Amino acid sequence: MTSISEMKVPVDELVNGIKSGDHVAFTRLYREFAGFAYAILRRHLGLSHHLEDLLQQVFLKVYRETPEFRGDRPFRAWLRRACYFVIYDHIRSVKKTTFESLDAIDSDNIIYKQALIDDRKTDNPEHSLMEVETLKRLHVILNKLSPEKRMALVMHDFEGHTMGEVAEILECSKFTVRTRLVRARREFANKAKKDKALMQCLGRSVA
Amino acid sequence: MKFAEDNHDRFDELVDMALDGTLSSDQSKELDLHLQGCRACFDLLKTMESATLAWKAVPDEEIDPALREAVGDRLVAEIIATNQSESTKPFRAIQSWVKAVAILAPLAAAAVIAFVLMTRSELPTNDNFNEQLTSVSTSPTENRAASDSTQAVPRTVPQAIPPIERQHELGLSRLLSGRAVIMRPGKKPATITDLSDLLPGDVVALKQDSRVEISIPDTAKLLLSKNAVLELNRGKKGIVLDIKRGELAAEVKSRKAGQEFLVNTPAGQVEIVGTIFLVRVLPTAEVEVAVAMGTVVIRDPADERNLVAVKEGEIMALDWSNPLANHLTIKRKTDLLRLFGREPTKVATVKRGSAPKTTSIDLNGFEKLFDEAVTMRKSGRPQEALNIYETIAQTAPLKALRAEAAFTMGQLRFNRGDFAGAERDLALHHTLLGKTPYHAMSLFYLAEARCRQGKNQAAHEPVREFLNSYPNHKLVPRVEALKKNCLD
Repeated sequence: MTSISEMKVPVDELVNGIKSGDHVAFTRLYREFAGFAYAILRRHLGLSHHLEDLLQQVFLKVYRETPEFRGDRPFRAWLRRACYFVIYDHIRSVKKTTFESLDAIDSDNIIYKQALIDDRKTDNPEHSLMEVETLKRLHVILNKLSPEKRMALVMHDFEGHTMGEVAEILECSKFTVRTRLVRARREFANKAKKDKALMQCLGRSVA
Repeated sequence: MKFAEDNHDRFDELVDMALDGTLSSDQSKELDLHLQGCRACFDLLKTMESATLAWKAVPDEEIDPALREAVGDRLVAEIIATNQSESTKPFRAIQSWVKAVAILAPLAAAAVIAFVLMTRSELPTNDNFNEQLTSVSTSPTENRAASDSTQAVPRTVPQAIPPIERQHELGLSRLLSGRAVIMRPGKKPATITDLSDLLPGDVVALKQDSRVEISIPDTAKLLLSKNAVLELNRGKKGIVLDIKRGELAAEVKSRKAGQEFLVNTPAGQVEIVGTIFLVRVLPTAEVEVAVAMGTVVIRDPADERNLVAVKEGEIMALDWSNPLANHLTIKRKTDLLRLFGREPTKVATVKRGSAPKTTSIDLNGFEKLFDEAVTMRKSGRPQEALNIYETIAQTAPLKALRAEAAFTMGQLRFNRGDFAGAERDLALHHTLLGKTPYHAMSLFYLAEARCRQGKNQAAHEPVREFLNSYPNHKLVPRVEALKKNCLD
């Protein structure tokens, strides 16, 4: 890594550079925001064999759509939007089948215990085991929802996005988003209720 | 009844509005009153609120630098390749290419080739490869680069890149994560980049926590992990692999009669009749073979008449070298579910001189114990959790299960300030099993536990082992600090 590439360059300059076809600017932008995008993908999808490919897809999307970026919103928000598009496409395309070939070693099918074992491999004593385990259990429930309901629930309720922002990703009306959200909440809560350990993680008593 | 239903529809709406954050103060009071008498609404609201809080409480996961680099390289390759096919200004494209190379690494040429190869679902033949490189678009396309009037770029058909001699005779390796090298006789070890050729006689060696995929055209796809070391050769009748350590998962295509696919392990040769299987060489030189589809046949190297067939769904543990061993190894159900997507039904014990004995094993018992222990921990009952882990550590037939219980006990005791107990448990963990996924953490805790008891001399050993084995680990700064404060 050269010292030049370590120098901080304002984001709008990098974006303008990309619009001019400057690969170096794109590389710098990628280096600066790869961690941000990765954290979003990881939070939404948990441990997945596809994270590398999805990260690549996010930034390819950024690269291709940079000419359309007008700076009317912060770049991070725009990047987050790209992440959501990629996540949504991914969860729609994942087929929940049992393992059939090496290409299908798909840790979207990992049950939470294996994810817990893999998480131990990071040997990161800073993460609270309970928080991470709770998230993994949440993923198990979310995986059971349809992609549309899952995205609506996670983006709106968990992440705090507006109905409009969700509608943009799901390419539907705000009314449809709301309908999906209402159904998703009930479906999620019903399924969560059956997971005693999750309910304990959430501090909820089981009826 | 209808009135009651209509009435409750109203409260359903209020619950959703509460979760939307759009309740007025009057509506909020109305809902609060309702919640006092409606368990269903109360549960729904509180479950969703708790889930939201739990989601937000998890800190962001940091990206692994190696992953970031790997993806970055692929991105540049793809963009360059895309621009080369679209651009009518090859000179400018090359200028940008050169800049990207200077900044990243001298991999751009290989990366372009890699991109071309990666777009194909099957490995290309030499003809296809050359075809890809020469089929550069000549039709004018919209140029994404800003035009620079000072640079006069001739609009000519770009010259085809001369064909590169394909050296691979055996296959291609692809680095999925981490680092790996190819060792070739008479040559320095070469780091595996995104795609690397493999020749007969090559040895692929992985660093810790790395994964490499190997494609052998028309024959097999392999996945190496867990510090694997694999030698690849072509025998008279087919492929011969030599797995010296680590884990090899394989999918082997059906072959013509007379063609072989052999895997040598420290504990015998595995002849592949099946399709999907796993061979694992443990640090203690035990070897396990698990089969997901088809059958594999394992030969005792000392006596070829000794054959064991491992069928679909079975797991076999081998220790031919120990004539006294009555060896039983069970992998945790979760490991096999991850790799094979289905539960095994049988585990076989192998003892030299005796016919293999296959028994059905119920893996549920210890799974439930671990679950129970985790529940106890979360419920704030660590002593009960410890008691369960003690039971597992003493009674589980699998060393890996006993080791995991020992490690977790050590962690629990350490967190409670019982450093002597933690030291005992973590030392047990080390004697039960060599390197496990949490070996590094175990060494750190062991060193810390000894320091806290004033056993500074004894703490040297785990610190030394940690720094030798895991020089790039995230915990290195803490181990260095421990070394400085306690040992120096």
